[in-house]
Amino acid sequence: MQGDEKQLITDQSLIESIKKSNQGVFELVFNFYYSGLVVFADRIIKNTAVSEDIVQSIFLKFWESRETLEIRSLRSYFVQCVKNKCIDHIRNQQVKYRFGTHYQETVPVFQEDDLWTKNELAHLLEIAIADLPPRCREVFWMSRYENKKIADIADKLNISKRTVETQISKALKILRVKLIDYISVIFLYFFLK
Amino acid sequence: MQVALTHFMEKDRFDIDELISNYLLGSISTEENSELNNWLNASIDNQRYFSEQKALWELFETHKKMQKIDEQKAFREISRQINKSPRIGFFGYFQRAAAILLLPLIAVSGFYYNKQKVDHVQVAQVTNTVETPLGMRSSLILPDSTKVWLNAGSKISFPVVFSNEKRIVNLSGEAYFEVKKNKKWPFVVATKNVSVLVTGTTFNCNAYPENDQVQTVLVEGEVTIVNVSATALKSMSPGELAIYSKKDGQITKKKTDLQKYIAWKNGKLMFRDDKMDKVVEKLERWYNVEFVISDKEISDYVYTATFVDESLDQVLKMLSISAPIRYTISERKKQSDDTFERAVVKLYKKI
Repeated sequence: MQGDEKQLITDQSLIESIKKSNQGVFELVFNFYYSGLVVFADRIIKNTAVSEDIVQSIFLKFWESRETLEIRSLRSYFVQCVKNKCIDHIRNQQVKYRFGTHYQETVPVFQEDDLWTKNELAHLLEIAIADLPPRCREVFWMSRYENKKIADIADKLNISKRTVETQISKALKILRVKLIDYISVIFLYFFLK
Repeated sequence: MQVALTHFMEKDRFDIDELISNYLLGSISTEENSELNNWLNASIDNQRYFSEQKALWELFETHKKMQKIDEQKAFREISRQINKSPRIGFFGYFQRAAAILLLPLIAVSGFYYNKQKVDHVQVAQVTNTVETPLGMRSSLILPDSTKVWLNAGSKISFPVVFSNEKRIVNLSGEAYFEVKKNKKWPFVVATKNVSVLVTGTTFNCNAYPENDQVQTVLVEGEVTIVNVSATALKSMSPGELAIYSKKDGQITKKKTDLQKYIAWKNGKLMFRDDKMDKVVEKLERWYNVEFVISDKEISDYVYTATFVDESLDQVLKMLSISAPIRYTISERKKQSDDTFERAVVKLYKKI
């Protein structure tokens, strides 16, 4: 983005408006971060409904204490809140079910960089997908975004299941090159089951 | 990054990318699965490659998950808790409207935040730009059948297709809008400093970048003016003029004579108690000439007149009759590229 022409909204000005009880700006910030934070929490909690509750409670508290908040960056503030809340939640769960299992301190390793907001991710992925060869894009889209089974896609496009699989693997190969910088390489070996 | 795929015993019976993709799709056969396992055990690079592909897959899963989340519903839930008795009415509405307007801007700021990640990504939106040169005016119809009159030396850009949520146009200069009414589809005129938010209405917005103010007059309907940082927000009623000052970032409102601000669209040049430096500014754009005020005192003269389709010469004559002003017009010299330079009008005090 060319920074000088576009006047960027700074976190500071957003926070100032929220401090002045501007609910419109609050809603804007909410819409911008909410889904990203829910997915972020969900990776730790593994329960979308609980994750939504956690993120909503963070925003409620954010609004209620708006006048006294000292925040530099909204992104790191929300990420920190979600982490803390998730850890609390896991501890509570473990206290509840401690009987018979041994208590274990689980502190998930997640960084601020792992937070994608919906807009950012959509923008990135849409552009990457748009560059795929047409047939490849069509198959990949149907599989990933329309939740179609391989057999359904083969049926619909009148191609073999094997061709569908080949196209998806081709898409991943191309996307890998485009998106390699964004794949956070937490190097883990996933054992196959 | 090139990854050397340490291959596996059997030559090319399996394509490793297909094995991985089938594994991710969940359509992997037992045979393929053990093949994949062998490959993974063969080297650490293979394992890295695999986990990167898995992370790539997760990116799309994450996106899909996000799309299923309903922010609006969630926000309704928490705002119910915030406002025990929900605040409805204009103010609430317009604040929400301001939020709609700001959304793309905050998206930009979000990207900025992640700069090193995304700064090579290009925005792929097709926009039209219509520009009027100095001395000319034009009118156009936007994709949503909103009518726009564009004053001299102005530029408007708008997407070929408006998005479903909002209609945003960018304006530099002056334009008169008759916005097609649609309550659910807000129309936003974005200028460099402030934005005008409307649902369906008629108004004039004057936002020449060289002026130190952005002036908006409302003919009918309702509009809201908000600056980019959303620190100042004013809703207007018909007959009002809102002035955003670039110096202090404030928006002020007052009742005004609308005609003066909108007459230009019908080809009328109208001045109402305007100081000579403002008059000159308008004439410069209208006739594409340059003015030089030789005696400073002239700038403070106040002028009232209406011109319809008069030539520059006639206007200047009228000026010199009604105010103690003398003028000269320079010869338009031919430039090296065979075009003529702008005429320069010099104003002097009458002695």
